Amino acid sequence: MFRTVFTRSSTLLNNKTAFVASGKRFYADAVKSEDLLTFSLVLPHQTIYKDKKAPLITLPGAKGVFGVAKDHIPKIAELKPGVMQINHEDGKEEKFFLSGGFAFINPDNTCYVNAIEAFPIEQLDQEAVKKGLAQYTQAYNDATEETAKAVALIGLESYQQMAYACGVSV
Amino acid sequence: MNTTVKASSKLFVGLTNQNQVRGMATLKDLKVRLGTVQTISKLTKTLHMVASSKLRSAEKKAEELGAFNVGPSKLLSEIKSNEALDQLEQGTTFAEDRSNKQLVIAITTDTGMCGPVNHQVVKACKALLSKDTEDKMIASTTGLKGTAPLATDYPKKLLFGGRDFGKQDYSFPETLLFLNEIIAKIPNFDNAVIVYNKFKNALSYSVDALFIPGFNLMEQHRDKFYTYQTTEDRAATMKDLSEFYLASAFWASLYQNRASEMAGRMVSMDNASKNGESISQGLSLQYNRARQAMITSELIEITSGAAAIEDSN
Repeated sequence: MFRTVFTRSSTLLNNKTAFVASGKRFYADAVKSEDLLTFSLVLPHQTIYKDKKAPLITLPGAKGVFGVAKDHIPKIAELKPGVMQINHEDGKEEKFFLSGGFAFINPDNTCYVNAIEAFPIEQLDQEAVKKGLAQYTQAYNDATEETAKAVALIGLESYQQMAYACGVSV
Repeated sequence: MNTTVKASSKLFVGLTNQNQVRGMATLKDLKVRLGTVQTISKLTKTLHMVASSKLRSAEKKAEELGAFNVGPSKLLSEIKSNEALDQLEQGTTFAEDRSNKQLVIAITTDTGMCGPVNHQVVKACKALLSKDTEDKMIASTTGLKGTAPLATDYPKKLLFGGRDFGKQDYSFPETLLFLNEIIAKIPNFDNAVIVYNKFKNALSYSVDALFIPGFNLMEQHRDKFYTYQTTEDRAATMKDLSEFYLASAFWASLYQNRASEMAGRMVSMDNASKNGESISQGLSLQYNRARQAMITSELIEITSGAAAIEDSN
């Protein structure tokens, strides 16, 4: 009797297709909905995503880009202009350009991203980005006053990030 | 200047009263009044229709755009009073200089004809300001309807009123400009209170006061945020967060108030057109009666004249 069981299980192991199938099922189980992060991406005038589930989102923090998945440490983060990436449940990636704002990561695995403006990066116009980049570089070099320099720097950094996002060489 | 205007208007009323014909209103007077009432009814009916069509979109927006405040308010709405600041001993050092000022921001509308919407907000604001004996509060309003009543009662406490603010539709940059004006004058406010009408449904709304903690107050409640990680420059993040929360809460309240305004206008204009209808019914009855009386008296005059001629023949 033992023998039959043993042979059966060994045939299962040897049967490559069965093994792959079970492996696949295991992978699908890994992205169960309770293992996902619930996030909202809201703008003042629009709600892009509300309580959407995703395995991972990547945010442009003021002190560096960081990823948020389930069980991330609770965090209040300021965002700077940059690209937010959403890895959707179905494996698709979506990228938004944010103009800055705040992100709140709560202990209950919810994440609120409050941005002032957000656009899919495909909507960025490369020509306009090049133009803006040149304009603010000029403004930054010309500025002598402290406030004017700061304003120019903000513009410059935003355009640099936009250029990086849509693949314009700086 | 106001007294002279009042006096002269009184004189004017007196004069016209003297000239008025005594007795029953003439047919022409009645017709003019009937026409006025009917025109006003038409106006109120139109306003009612406009308000009810705008209500739907305003309601939808209030619900949708309120999402912008969900994140920050989840974090900060637990802080409901600035007792923590007042309980501190003298000479405590604060994260930034304490201004001892509280902002009161009243959200009112530019145009009237919307029932008790603005009145309720003004009343709530006055109640807040009347309690303030230590001259701590600074009020500012959006919309004209709140500015005048607050300016007459508390001229020293009113910072400014935003006229034509959000006349078409509120825009976020415009909102930031408005708040920036306030923050530029009182950069380190203890807390802010936003007074607005919270929208419930098409028939009901209620005045709500939203409490926004300032940076110092947030630092006093630091224990609430212990679980949260921030960047190295924690103070800067919290300072920014206090201003950001003010903006996001203000933004959500603006749309709540807009929806309440539309609901209020719809109800009050509906009532006004019903009233107008009943008045115009009464007036047209009176008008027809007077007209009939005139015709009858003319007929009597003719027939009696004819009878007199027949008699003399």
